[in-house]
Amino acid sequence: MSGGPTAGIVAPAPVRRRRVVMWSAICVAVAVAVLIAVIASAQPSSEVSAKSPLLGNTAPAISGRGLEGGHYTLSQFHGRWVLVNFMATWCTACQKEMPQLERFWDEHSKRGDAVVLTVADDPTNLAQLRSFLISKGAHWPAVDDPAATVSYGLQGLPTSFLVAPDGVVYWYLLGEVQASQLDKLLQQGASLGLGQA
Amino acid sequence: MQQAQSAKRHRWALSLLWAAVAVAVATGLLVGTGALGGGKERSPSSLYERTLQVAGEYRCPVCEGQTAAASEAPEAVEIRDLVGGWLSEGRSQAQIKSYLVERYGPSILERPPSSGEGLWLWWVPVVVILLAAGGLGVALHRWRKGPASAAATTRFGPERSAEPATAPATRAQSMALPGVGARVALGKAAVPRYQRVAFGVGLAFIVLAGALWFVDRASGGRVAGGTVSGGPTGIGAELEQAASETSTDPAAALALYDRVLANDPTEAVALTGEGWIYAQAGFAAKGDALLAEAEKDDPSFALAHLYRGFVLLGYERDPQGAANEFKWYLTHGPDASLEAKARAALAIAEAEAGR
Repeated sequence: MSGGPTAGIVAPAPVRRRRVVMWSAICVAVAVAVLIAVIASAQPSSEVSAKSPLLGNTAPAISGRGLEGGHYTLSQFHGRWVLVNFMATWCTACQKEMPQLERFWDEHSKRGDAVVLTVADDPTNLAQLRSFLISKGAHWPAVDDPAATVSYGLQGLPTSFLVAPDGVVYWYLLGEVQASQLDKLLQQGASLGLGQA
Repeated sequence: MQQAQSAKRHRWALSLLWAAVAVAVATGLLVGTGALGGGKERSPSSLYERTLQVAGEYRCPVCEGQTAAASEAPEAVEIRDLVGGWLSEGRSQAQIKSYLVERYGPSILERPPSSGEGLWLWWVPVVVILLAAGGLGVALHRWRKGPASAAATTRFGPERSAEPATAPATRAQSMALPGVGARVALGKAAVPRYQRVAFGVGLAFIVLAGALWFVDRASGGRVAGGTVSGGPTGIGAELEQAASETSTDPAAALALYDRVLANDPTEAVALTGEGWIYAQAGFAAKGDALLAEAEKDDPSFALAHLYRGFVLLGYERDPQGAANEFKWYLTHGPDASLEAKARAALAIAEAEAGR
């Protein structure tokens, strides 16, 4: 006789069925657990540095009246890095990232290699945005171009696009930017022969 | 003899039940897909309706669970403006879709694409439901087949049974309700409890999946104020149109609100819309009175409280009253796209009230 003591013994049909049901239930439970784990571990959209279909493509035009008067276009900054930053005053994350924008602006406006261009997200919020930017000492251009929210595929606030000197979208972030992160991106871009950092 | 008749009646009842379920499911599917005409959307007659219909095919990019047609978020309003502008220029829906997908990616689509990466989203539920239905069919077949030998003994009556019934079968038989055949009672007892539970859960899953699919088909892409299976009609359409024209053509919006109020003087949405228009036009007292009337007629209509707060703060110089309205709004399920504005306004109102 070969095999162990149970060799050749076939479980009765009800027992087999019970096993099938049990394994089916286990498989379903594992699948549900994996699904829940995937959903639970997903980053909230406000913190996602998601991919934008615009990356690597020419930045859509921005054109509109400045909140402080005048008229701004994105193309007038061609040859410099442009941080296109969408914001509204009722967005607390936008308020929180202001010091980072100020740091970036202070450093790079002196060098002349990069500018910040704020785009108002909410047309009903222009007066407050103007007051807010003034109160924060933000001296960079801010523009009202409602169409830009669609042409840039805006999916939340704050959102920033770093446009390379050649006018191509180099980087995108849905969330708060960090000045140090932007500096690194400019250095990285310089090493690739884009502009000067 | 009596048992045989009872079993026959039971089989008839079961057959009728299954037939009813089949008819209900088939009707649901036909109505849900619009095959019976009830689900067909009437063709939009105006540019406004066409805009809403097309915008309803896209998600509001900054909201949860709302289409660009239904949301008042600035991004959704911009998409509606773009859609309306392009439609008026004679551009095709394919051009609009191509542009928006190019800017936002496929996630902007309210319904996943039925080709490429989105294909599996359409077919996985169908495959799962078919597999579940097949599994239930097999289970049902075995269920009916399993107790056949025991049932055979009862067709001639328990007293003529050649073999003694098993203990569970005897118990079930003795517990069988009047009018329910012994075969069923025996069959029920012969099937283990876990199998019956699994069968019930599977059946419930299929019914639930079918119901959800039906609801999704019937309500997908509808705009606020619209009927379940058609475009916006009647009062809903007028209110929707009036709301969209409030900023561009307040006189036209006022006329639409008037028309609604002529039919129903207590319509809170129309009262709120009129109140806001009057307040913005410089008739703050009249606006406030209309908003107060809206609150009185429908105390649960949150927007009346929000807009009254804005009027009291901006026009009536009553920051305390405004703060109370904003607080009410914020504690009664505020709209996600308006909550931040309401909070900011509340902060201003409280600061002004404290001076």
